[in-house]
Amino acid sequence: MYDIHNQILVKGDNLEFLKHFRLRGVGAIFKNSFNTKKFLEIKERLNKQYPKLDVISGIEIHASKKSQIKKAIEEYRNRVEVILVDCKEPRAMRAASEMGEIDIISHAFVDQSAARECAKNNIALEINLKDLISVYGIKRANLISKIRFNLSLARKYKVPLILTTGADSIYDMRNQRQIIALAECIGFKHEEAKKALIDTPKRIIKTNREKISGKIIVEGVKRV
Amino acid sequence: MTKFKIKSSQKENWRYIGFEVISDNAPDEKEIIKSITSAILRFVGEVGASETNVWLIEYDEKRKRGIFRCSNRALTKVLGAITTISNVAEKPAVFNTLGVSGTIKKLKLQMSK
Repeated sequence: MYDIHNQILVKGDNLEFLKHFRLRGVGAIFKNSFNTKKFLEIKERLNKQYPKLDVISGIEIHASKKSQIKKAIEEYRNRVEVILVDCKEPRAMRAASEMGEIDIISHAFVDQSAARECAKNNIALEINLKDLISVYGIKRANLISKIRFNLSLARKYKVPLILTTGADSIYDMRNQRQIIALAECIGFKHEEAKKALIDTPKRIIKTNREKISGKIIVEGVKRV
Repeated sequence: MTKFKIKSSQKENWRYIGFEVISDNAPDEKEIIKSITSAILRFVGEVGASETNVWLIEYDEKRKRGIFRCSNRALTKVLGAITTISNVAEKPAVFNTLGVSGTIKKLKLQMSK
């Protein structure tokens, strides 16, 4: 399982969660500004303890305007492996869906046109487990209905989906089997959930690493 | 009185779920049962909960590990409900499943790995 949207590594030095939840890859996601030095420190420390674990560098941009997203892309696209955008306004979300440089729209609740644009630009929609776990009652019910709508749009336009924990602490973490089960309960098919948890994040990371290393020159042109 | 025989195909198929509780404190058996049942009731409702037939088989308070069983047909619902647990006895906690099996013997083998 790849858990891209994970802030435990950035927030603190508690690595206890890694032995409980069998992870193949974990994200070190910085909010709004990326600290290369800190990321390298985290990576070095993890490589000593867990040599097989894949550590992914990323940044989550909180944006309410198109200009904020553009600025962040210019600054960080060649420095980080994953760019997530958390849009506070629907207008910003629609603008984000038109930018192919973004990888993931986090906490995403898209409409028809945004979903179509996401599919066109190969932008994944993130379904964050923390949103679902932290609320209950009618709020959770409404959230599930929104996710179901997103899921139907994703099926219609073939938008890639990813499932993440969005963890801030060890108490937000869940293992692969449980996440797939929860996803199945809210409307995913088993294969869809598996793809959203393993295959899609893996593909995003792989292509972005190839872009950063210069293997992919332009979209569609690859150095062999 | 007539005795009704049940075909083997009509018997309930159980799934045994091994779990560990990740928490700072050590919750007791009652608290574990309460948190599991309330999570299932909240997540799948009363009618859904009636299909799950959840039963705590054993729980080791020291190791914070245990086994409970549920109906085979309701496994996904139960796992989904357990995922939503974030508090046990009003303290932050996570239920981490260590394995799922049709027999306790096999499950214990899985858990020991």
